[in-house]
Amino acid sequence: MNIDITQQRSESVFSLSPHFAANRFAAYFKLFSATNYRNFLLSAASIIIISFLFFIFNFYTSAHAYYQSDTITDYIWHSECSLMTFILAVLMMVGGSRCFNAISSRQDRASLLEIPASHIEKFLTWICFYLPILIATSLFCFYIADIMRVVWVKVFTDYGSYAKVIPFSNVLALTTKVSSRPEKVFEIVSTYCNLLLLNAIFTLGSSLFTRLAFIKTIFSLSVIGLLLIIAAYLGYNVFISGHYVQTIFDPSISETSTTLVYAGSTILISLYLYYISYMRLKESEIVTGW
Amino acid sequence: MNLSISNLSFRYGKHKPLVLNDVSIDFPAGGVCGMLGPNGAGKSTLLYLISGLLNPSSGSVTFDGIPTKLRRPSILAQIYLVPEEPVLPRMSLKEYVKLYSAFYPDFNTEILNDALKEFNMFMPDRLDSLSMGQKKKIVLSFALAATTPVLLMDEPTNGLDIPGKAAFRRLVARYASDDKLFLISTHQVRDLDQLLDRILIMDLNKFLVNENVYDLQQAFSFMRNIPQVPDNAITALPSLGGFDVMLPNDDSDETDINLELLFEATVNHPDKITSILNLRK
Repeated sequence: MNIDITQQRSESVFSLSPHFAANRFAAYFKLFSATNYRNFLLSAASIIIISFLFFIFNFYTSAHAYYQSDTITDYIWHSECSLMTFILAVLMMVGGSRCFNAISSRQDRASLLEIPASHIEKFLTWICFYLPILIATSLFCFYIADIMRVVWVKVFTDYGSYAKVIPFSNVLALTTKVSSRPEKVFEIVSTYCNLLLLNAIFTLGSSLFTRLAFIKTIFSLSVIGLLLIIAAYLGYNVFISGHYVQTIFDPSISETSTTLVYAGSTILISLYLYYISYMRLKESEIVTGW
Repeated sequence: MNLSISNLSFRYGKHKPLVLNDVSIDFPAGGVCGMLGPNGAGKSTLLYLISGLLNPSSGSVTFDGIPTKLRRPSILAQIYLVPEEPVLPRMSLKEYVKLYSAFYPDFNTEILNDALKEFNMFMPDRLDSLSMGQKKKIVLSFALAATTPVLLMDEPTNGLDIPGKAAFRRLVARYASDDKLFLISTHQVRDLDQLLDRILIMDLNKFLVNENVYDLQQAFSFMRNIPQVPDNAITALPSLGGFDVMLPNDDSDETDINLELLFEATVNHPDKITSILNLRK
């Protein structure tokens, strides 16, 4: 039996920019998808099951408090949105930690680094997988898990008439308070910015720690956080306590502006962290130094 | 194609000993180069440095003037490395070829099919569950089909069965050409007998021999199964019928190179070999 490849190959792929070529990126994206889709499907199934278990646990522990009257709103949605945000935050951390997992062993590194795609194409593919695609998949999985929760409640409990499937717009916004008011929109944007930052931190962590990146990054963050608290405490006692300090913040600044500044700075910090991770990939070798 | 190494030194870590020490070499544009050397001589390290998977401690490896450590896609598409222990993803061979061949503009499916047939390989549905020898056959077939100007092979016959080794030799002989460089690193010298155009022997972190086969045949003669070791023998190994012997070639008659003897002589008497080679130049 012979192999017959009918796909078209273009030599122009290799005459384009050494940094980024759309068709080369597409070829690498396809390759990465084909080698990782099983793990991704497994992750999606795990998200559905874990979310469902969280939602059911939440239902059994708080149904009495929430289900008082039959309205168009299922009041358990509020806590579900918090749970979704929490699960998504954990997924962003895990996703970031998995970024550099593809090159955890010497053979894996050799296989990856010798593929004729640029570092930026490889890195962008990882980020696409472990950020927008993971977020989109997770939101879809949350929605499926909520449908399962409603079916469960209707079939196995007496609260069937109260239970309703959460609107997808609520899942997308990770809050039940969906509104077009700027402060609400910026609140949603900030939530996603936080997720971006988490992913960027853990991606950097995975570029620094070859093994157990998730645990080691959490440990490093805890140590850094502790040091910052100590520094802030000492700084306050030495420089501020007992002295009059004029605030640099103008109380007339609106919440919207604050959120906007926060979102902007979070995005910039995240991009910087991604850049450092990218440089780690670019300077990587098949041996240590990771 | 111009693959060049200049003043290359490499060590694994700041406080580790040098694996390669001030190595310089210009590779020919085509042909089969055999890189021989004892374990730890730096053969695999050199292949990784050429393919850009390691960064030199000093010096450089360039392909058409561009340092390979930059790992530019255009360079990676022209240098294919067959590692000693290849890793294959969980997918069918057909899928693998379709996805990976997209990166090699001159990929030739006819060569792939020919190589797979020569290796007597079937079409596996899961590459990751194959034995090491079978993986090696798949990767070697793919590497030949990629038709890159430079093909680096690290211990290609390790893990191959006896028919596989014979098939490998036939394939190398069939697809070697003047515009493609096959650089084969091995310590199993018998697997490369009669295949090589150029011989590189490494030891003590550098090249002790870097000569084409014709020059070596002019410089040395190799005799098999002679009853007594002559006085001018450079080295001799016992054989069933007496001794295999390597001598300086005084009468200019060419004999087939015995790689095992040449390797033995180079590693044990490097100064003698170098002086004989230099004398002829």
